[in-house]
Amino acid sequence: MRTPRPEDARDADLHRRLVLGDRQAFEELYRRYSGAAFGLAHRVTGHELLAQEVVHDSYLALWRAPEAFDPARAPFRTFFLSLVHHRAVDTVRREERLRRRTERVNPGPVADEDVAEGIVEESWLADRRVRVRSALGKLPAEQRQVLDMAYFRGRTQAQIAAELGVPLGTVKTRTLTAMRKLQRMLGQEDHE
Amino acid sequence: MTFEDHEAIVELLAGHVLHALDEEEVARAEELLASHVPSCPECSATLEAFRAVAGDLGLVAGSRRPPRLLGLRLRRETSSRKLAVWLGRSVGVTAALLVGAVLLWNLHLSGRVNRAEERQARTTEVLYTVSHPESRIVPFSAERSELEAGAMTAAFLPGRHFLYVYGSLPDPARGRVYQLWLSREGRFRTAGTFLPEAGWVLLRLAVNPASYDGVLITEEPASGSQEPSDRRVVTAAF
Repeated sequence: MRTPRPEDARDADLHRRLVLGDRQAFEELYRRYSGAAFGLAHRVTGHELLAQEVVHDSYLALWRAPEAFDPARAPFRTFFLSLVHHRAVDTVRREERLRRRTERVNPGPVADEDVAEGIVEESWLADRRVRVRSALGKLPAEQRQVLDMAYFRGRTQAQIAAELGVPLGTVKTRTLTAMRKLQRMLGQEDHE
Repeated sequence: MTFEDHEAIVELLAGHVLHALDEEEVARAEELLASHVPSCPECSATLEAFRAVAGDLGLVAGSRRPPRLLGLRLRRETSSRKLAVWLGRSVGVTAALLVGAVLLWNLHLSGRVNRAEERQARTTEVLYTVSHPESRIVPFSAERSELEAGAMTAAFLPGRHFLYVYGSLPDPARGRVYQLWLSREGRFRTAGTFLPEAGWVLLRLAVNPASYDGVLITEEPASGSQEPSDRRVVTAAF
């Protein structure tokens, strides 16, 4: 079994306190991840108010049912950002009509940096971001494209196939290949 | 199961963790998650690895400052939820003595409503206060290491002459009570003594919070004290 990284162990401790109803632990998790969560929700929804709702609902869901996170399975960070992502994508799909009326802003990953004054992003999170971006940058463009359309634009694989004019099977293959490569690259770094 | 079958499954799992499957495929993925995946170490490991990748992809978007009001809103709502839980568990509110301006809930409502209605009124009023956009919610700092962080909270609405103090405290030592003090410029005024009921506390003080700069709870002899002793329990600064 791998020893958890200090930041993951810290998150696990905060989660244990959260399960007991500790509001300070909740506030610490808000301080640690609200910047990343809001950045992700904003990137997916392209809409300030929708992003706020996504982050709000995600944190409230965490507060109401902290047991949904199982520390034995994954670091808190990946659990929570996945939760935010799912809610953001659901929101985008639900609000498709609204999104069409709103000029969509899909900011680039670097230009969008806006670390909050009161939300002090810790260096390990910034380091991890650099590593993930680097790994993503090493993927072939067509694989990166399907991940971007699925993850950040909330498209289903069938929609991606239709938009790109390629068979659904091609989209699935590119997605799987990309995920495996990322898994290998990020997994190797975890063991370094 | 053949290699091709497994490839088809992990392909589906990749789409699943990215939340990119169509409705029919979602149903298929859910079926596999319930049936095949738990009993297949290879698929289980792949699913966990893909989940980790999907979570990390969220970092790529970059950090962005959430509006300050979002944090305040969550703070109020989580406070309301915890209070609602407390009120749901609590049989009643206990305060042993009534001194000065402290107005106990039960006394305030006595003769007007029955117990169930009283509890409902109490719940509604406190929840209204703590969830109001302009309310001030001040967590107490624990002065004793054994107390849970955020165990007690003070809440009030600026301009209203009521201060609510609520939370959980263990019973004081035998023969002793808790005493609530209002502070202003280093001077303390007693607001009354109380005992938790089944570990829960909910007090309403008919005072103008703007006239004070903080609240202190100490443990004192059963008759109360004229000045706060050094047996401090929790303290809050407005």
